[in-house]
Amino acid sequence: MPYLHQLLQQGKAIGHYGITHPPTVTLPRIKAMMTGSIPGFIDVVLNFNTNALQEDNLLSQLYKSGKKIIFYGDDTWIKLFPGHFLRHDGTTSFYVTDYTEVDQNVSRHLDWELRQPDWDVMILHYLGLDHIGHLAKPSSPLVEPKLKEMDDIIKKLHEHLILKGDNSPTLMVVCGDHGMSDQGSHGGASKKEVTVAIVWLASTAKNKKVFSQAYPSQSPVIDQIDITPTLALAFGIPIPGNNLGTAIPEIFLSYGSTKDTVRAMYLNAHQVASVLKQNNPKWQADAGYVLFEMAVQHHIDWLNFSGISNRAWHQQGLSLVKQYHSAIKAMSSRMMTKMTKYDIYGMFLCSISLFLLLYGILMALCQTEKSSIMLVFSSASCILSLMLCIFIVCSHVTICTSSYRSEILCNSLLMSGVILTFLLLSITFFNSLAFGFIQSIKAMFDNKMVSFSGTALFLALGCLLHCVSFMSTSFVEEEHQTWYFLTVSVFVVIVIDALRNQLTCHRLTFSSSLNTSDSLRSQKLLPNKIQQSSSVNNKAVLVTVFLLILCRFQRSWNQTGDKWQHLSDTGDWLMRPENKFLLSIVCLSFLLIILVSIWIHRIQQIRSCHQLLLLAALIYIYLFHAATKKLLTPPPWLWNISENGLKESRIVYSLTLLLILETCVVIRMKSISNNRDENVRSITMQSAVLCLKSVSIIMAALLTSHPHNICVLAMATLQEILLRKLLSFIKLPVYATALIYTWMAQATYFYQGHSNNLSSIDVAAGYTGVGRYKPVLVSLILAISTYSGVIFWYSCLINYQLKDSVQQHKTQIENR
Amino acid sequence: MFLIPMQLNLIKNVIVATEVACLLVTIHCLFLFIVSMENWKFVIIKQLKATVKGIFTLISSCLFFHLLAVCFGAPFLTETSETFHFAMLLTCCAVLPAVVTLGNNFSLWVKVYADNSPDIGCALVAFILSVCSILGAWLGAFPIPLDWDRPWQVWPISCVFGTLAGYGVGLITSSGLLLYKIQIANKQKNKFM
Repeated sequence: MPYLHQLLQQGKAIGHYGITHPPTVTLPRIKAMMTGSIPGFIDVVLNFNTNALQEDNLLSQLYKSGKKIIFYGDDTWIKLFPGHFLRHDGTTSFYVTDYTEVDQNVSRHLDWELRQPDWDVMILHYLGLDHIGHLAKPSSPLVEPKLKEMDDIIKKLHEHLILKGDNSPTLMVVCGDHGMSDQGSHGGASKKEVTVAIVWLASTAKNKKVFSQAYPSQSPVIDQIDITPTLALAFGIPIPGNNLGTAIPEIFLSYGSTKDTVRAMYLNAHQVASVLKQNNPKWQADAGYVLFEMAVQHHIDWLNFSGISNRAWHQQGLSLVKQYHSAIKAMSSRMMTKMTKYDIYGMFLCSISLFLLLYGILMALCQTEKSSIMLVFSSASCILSLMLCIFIVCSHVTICTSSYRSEILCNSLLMSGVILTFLLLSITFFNSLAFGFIQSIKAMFDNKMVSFSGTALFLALGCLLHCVSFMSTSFVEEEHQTWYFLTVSVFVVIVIDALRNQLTCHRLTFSSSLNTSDSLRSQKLLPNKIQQSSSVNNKAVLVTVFLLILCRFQRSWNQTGDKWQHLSDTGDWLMRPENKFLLSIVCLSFLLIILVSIWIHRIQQIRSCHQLLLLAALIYIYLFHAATKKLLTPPPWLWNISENGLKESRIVYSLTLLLILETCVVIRMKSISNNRDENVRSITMQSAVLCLKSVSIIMAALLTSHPHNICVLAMATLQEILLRKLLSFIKLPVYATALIYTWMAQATYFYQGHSNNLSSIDVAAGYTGVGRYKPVLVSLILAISTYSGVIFWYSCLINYQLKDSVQQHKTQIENR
Repeated sequence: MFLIPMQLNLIKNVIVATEVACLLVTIHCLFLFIVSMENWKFVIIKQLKATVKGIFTLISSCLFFHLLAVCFGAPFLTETSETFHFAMLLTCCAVLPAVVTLGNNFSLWVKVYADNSPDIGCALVAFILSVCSILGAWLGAFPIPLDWDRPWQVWPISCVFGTLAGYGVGLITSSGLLLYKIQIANKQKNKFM
């Protein structure tokens, strides 16, 4: 931005780093800038559905004092401040795939408006840069021309203001509502997301000197909410009631006299002090308030005492400004720590009930059918009492700790009664379970049924480690590392198990003369079985090696988390414009792999119809990504792609619907023909699950704004096939397979570039095939796109378990 | 800290420190080897083939550990030297004792590593050493994602340290276990007598 930089260097403008408070999403940020307070995380949810702002704010104050406001840009403002604007034209901010029109919508009004004399305040909210970030990361080549465009607009406005001259002093503020992470998203609290630029441009040339010298800036870092009192005081309107920001003295010093500046700081401090009085019962003892009172005393002295020279008087004024500044900072930081309240009681109750639930599940898990347990309750009554407990806790938490708190229901007597009931119920319930648990363990040990393999043991250990890791915030931020490490570790443990088995087999074949110690083992295994299991173990090792390699590839595909976010990954490299051809080739081949890997899955019931639908869907997915200009477009004689991929994505949606419909029809027909047979029923179940699997893959491939994620999906499908092979070689208990699949699901979630950070949600994906902002539809698509990998693995798990049960059924029949 | 020369500082100079650690572990293992040999006059001439085989085992296991580290998330294209040195150290700590004590006796290897029933003596020490060093290396990766921003939270420093710590723990445990087992054996002997 050459023009802005030039101004900053010449001292014609003041630049600040603004620190915003999370959540760094548009609506809470606008609220914060207008009210000066700190919105909570609940506003992220409200971000999608805006109501008028009720709190005291800058715009209402301006409106009340008769100023005329005009607004162009993000229509969130119009929803927040209905009727406040003299003229306005909003653009929907949620349609992120467009980044030129949103800005043209704003800029086209500028020339006309600049000629109009009737307005006092002009607010412009440009969306293009944010959209580019969402769409194509901040490293994208699109960013540079966009910044140039913004710079031109600033130049235009500023030159106009200078032209107007000194008779109407105007302040121009250029600021961002939030920053942008390396992934181009925002919402979290990382440094790049919370830092915004705030530039103050003076309209008049005479301010040049004053701007640079009058007030030696304490630090270039300010809070974003500091804008609020500064603007309010600059306009001479009351500061919004809930403001916690500190006015920036440099701005006033450049316009008014020292006396005015001190007066402005006093007003600001007085207002913050009144907020403090409302919220803190011990406000008189507060350090910030003491500072404020001292500053007021000095202020009075200063005003009464004018005997000394002008310069010294001025200096004293400046030190007063500093005193007020630090007093406000102290008070507001005090308030900020008080603002974020945690409902300790509710959290405590919930975590206890969660623990009880976990306990119950563990107990239930240990009660196998074979062990003879005498439960005090039957299972039905168990579930009933559990439901009752959950219901009581939930209602208790909602009534007593949420915003709907009711005083009558939550007096101490009733509360303690409820808790007592809950405790008694849960204690009896869980004790009965524990009783059964101890007995079942006893039975297991008696029958020597416990034969934990290394893998199963490691899976249990891994779950425990994962739970423990949540005690550290950095392990929450870097949860993907936990999963990558654990999945790789479990495969390595499987390899070690297999190798050990094989070595044992080797030895058994070697030693023909049976030692006494080996006789037991060799009696169990017949020679030909040994041969078989040896080759099986070889295969298991091979399969696991492939699995490990795929894991490594996926891991390098997308950097997520916080600590190593800045490192470039394979995905970034592929997304570069010069690698477009390569990316297209890779995506095509991986789409092919997806297709083949689902076709391979053929059992007797996969139908050609299903296959064709899948093929068509994958072709259209490629065309969709080509239409959004991320992949090479096919020649026009082959397919005429639409402007922004609307047509293609809608075709994919309809194909998916057809796929589901077709599966439903098939299931219906099968179940009509013979619904008695156990086998057929499980096969229909399987085809349903298969349909779910393909749908989840299609959706995941379609609903990503980064086509290189197709490769991650393809590798996941390959991994699934390999894993199924592997699990057929080594026999694991049901819970162990379920755990492995769950771990893979978690890992795939992170492989796709997601993280526990709110900002890693790919907002642009929610708009595939949606022409304009429809809240329900968009959030549905967003949810599907975020969890597509997880859905895929869970459907695979169901599929595997079903198949397993069918096989067991068959072997049982054969044995009979 | 000032007793350690600059070159050997693990944090500032990983590669050299790792090399020195490798050397120390190797010397230690050879010592183990000399102790375990009854008549070591003919050893080198007689078992030339075994020595070559052992060296081959070491090299291949070093490569194997390197690839394994990459699978676990070590950078593949960058920091190759660090990864390789870590693999070398892991080989020295986990494989070398076994190579030295078990030789090329395959059934002995199977007995120790597949059946987990090593004989009392050097085989037991080797087994415990390898398990402990590998566990230490695995656990060493845990603090890397933490946000403490310490200089040692960098690949492969914490893992190298974990390996060495595991080796040390292994030595202590194995000596304790040996004492315990020998005592039991003696008692049984006394009973029989």
